[in-house]
Amino acid sequence: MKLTVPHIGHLDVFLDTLGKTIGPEFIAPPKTSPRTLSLGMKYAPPSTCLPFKFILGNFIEALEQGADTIAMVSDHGPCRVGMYDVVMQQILRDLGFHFTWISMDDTQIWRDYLVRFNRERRARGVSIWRTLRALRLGWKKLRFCEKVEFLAHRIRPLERKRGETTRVEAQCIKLIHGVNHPNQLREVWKECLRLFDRIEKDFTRKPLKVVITGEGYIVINPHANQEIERRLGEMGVEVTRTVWISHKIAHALHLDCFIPKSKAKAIKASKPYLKYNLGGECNSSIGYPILFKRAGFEGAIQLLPLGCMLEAVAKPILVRVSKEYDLPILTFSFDENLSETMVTTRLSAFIDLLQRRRERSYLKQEKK
Amino acid sequence: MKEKDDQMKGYLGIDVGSVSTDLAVIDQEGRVLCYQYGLTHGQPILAVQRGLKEIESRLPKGVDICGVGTTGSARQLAGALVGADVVKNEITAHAVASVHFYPEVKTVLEIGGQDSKIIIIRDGLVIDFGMNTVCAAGTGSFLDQQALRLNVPIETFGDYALRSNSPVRIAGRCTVFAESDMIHKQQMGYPLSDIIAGLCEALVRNYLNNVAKGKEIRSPILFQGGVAANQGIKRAFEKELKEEIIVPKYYPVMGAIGAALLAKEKMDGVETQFKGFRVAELECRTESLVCKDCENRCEVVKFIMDSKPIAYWGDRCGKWESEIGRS
Repeated sequence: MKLTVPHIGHLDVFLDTLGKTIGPEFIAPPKTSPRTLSLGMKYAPPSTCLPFKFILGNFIEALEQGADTIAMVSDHGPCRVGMYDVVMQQILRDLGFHFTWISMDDTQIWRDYLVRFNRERRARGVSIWRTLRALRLGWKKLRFCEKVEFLAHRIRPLERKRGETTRVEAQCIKLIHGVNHPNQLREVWKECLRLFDRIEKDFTRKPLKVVITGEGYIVINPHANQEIERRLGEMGVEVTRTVWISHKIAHALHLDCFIPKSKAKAIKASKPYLKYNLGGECNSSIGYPILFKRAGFEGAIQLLPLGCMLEAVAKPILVRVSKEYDLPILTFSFDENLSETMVTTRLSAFIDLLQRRRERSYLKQEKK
Repeated sequence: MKEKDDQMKGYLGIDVGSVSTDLAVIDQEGRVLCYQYGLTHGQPILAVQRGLKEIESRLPKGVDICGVGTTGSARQLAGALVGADVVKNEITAHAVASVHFYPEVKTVLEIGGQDSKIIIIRDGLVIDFGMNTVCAAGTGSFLDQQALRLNVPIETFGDYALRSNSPVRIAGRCTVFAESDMIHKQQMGYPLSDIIAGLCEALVRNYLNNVAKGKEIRSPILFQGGVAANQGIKRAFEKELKEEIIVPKYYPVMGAIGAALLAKEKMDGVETQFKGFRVAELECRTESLVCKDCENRCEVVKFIMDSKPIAYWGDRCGKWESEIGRS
C-alpha cells in the first residue's frame, strides 16, 4: 500500500514522518507545477473551483508515481468538498487508474481518523509508545516548518537583497524535512535560526502589516495564490496568514485553547455578523480580520476560489467589517485565468492606500 | 518660480497603457506645461520614444526635467527605458491627479483601453478601489471595435448617442453577446443612433454592476480616461447615477499627470535618474528567456539598450535582477 494525499501546506512533512515509522509508505505528489494545473483543468468539470483542479492534478501525478491509495477529506456541509470524493473517484477511474479511496470526514474524527489509525497501527504491530513518539516528531516537524514560514513572513520585508529570505526558507524546510530523530531537531532548528540571522536586514524600515484570510486551500498554498505572501513581502509588507495546518488539526481535535489566535476565537469574533457556523473558513474569514485589527494589523486581504459559496457569503459581510473596524480589505477571487499583472497592480495600489493612511494618521497624531 | 539662469523645474509623467501612451510635463506648482496623447499600437518602446520626441518639441524653453514617473501596464518597461524615479500603479496615479485638480472629489470613474476602475476617495485619501476582473466589456477597445464595425468615426460615436431619444436595450454583460445583440437590433431596423445610445447605457450598467459593485458612489464624481471623450457614456452615467459627472480638462492624460505629480513629490532635493530625451534615438529592444535553474521556469525579460542589457524582470528569485549590478 502506497498512500498519497493532496498538497496542503506542510501536511506532507507530518505524514512522511508517520509513514516512515508506522507505515504505510507515503508518497507525496510531485511539487505542484503548471503541469499539475493543466492536468486538473483538462479532466475536471470546468465549473469546479480551483482547489478541485489542483488536487485532481496532484492525484494524477501521484498515481503516475506509483501511489495506490488516496486519502481525501470530505465534508457534508455547504462546501463543494462534499462532492469532491465522489466526482474525483469517478474521473480517476474513468482515466483507467486503479486505487483504493479512503474518505475521511472532518466531523467524524473518532471513527474516520483515530479508530482507523489505530487499526492500521495494530495490523503492523507497532507499539503504542513508538506510535506516540512518531506522532510527536511529526507534529514538531510540522510546527517547525510553520515557524520557518512565520519567520520568513517577518524578515522578508526587511531583506536588503531580494530573494534571500525565500532561498533561506526553502533551505530550512529541506533541513527540517530530513530530520529522523527528535534529538536532531534542536540542532536543525538552531541552524535555521542561524541562517535567518545571516540575512542582511534593514531595520530602519517600518513594514506595513497585512493579514491574509479566506478559503483554506488558497490561503495556505503558495502555488494556488500566486505566491501572494512572497510578493507582498518583497513589496515591503509584513504578512501573516490565518490558516495553518497545525491550527486546523488542533481545531478538529477541539484543542483550540492552546493556540493564541485560534479558529474558535475567530468564529466567536464573527458572531455579531453571522449567527450560525456555516463551516469551512466562512466564519473565521470574517472573524480573523477583527482579531488581527485588534493586534495592530493595518489591512486584510481575502482570497477565495471563484465560485466558493462560503467565501461569497463572507465577502459582503467583510465590507461591513471593513467599515465598522476601519480596516481596508481587498478581495481576490482566484481561478486559473486570473492574470498576474492584475494581481500586482491591485496589490501595489492597496499598499499605497495603506501607506498613505499611515502617513495621514501620523500627521493627525502630531497635530494633537 | 523662476530659478537662476531662467531654468524652470519640470516633471515628466509617462502613462503607457494598452491602447494609448500619454506623456505630460508639469511645473513645480503642479501646472500642466504640455502633454501628448498617442497610440501604443502594440509597441510600447517605440510609442514612448515617439512620445518623447513629440513632447520635447512642445516643451517650453528653459524647462529642466527634474524627475520622471511612469505608470500604466507597461510602467516597468517605460521606467527602464527612460530611467524613471517613480514607477507606480495606475490606480494611485489617477487618484493623485484627481485630488490635485479637484481636492473635494469623492469618486473617480476611469475607463481606459483594456480596463476600467473605480476609485473611492474621502478627504483626499483613497479608501477603496475596484477594477474589472475578467471581462473587458465596456472598455475603450470594445467601443473602438464597434465604431469600426458600424463605420462611425470613434470621435463622433458620442454625438450619435446624444441624438437618440429612445435608446434600445442591449445586453452588455459580455462583449460577444453585446455585439450579437447589436447586430440583431440593427437587422431589425432600429436607427443607428438608438443602437449606439443603447450600447452606451448597457456598458454603464455593466460597469456599475461589476466594477462598482458594493461601492458607495458620492458626488463630486470625476470621469476620466480615454472613454471620457464619449459624451454618450457620460450622459448614460448621469442618467443612471442621477448625479452630475465632471470630465476634467486633461481627462485622457490624468494617469501621466499623476505619475508626474508622484515624481515631483519624491524628488525633493534628490538627483533624477532621467536619461534625457536622447533615449528616443537609441536602439532598444527586449528579449525573453526561460530560466531553467529551478522548477519555477520563470519567463525572464531582458531589456537591451544600445546593445547592453540594462534591466531584467519576471524572475521570482531575484537572480537575474542582481545580474545587472555585477556586470
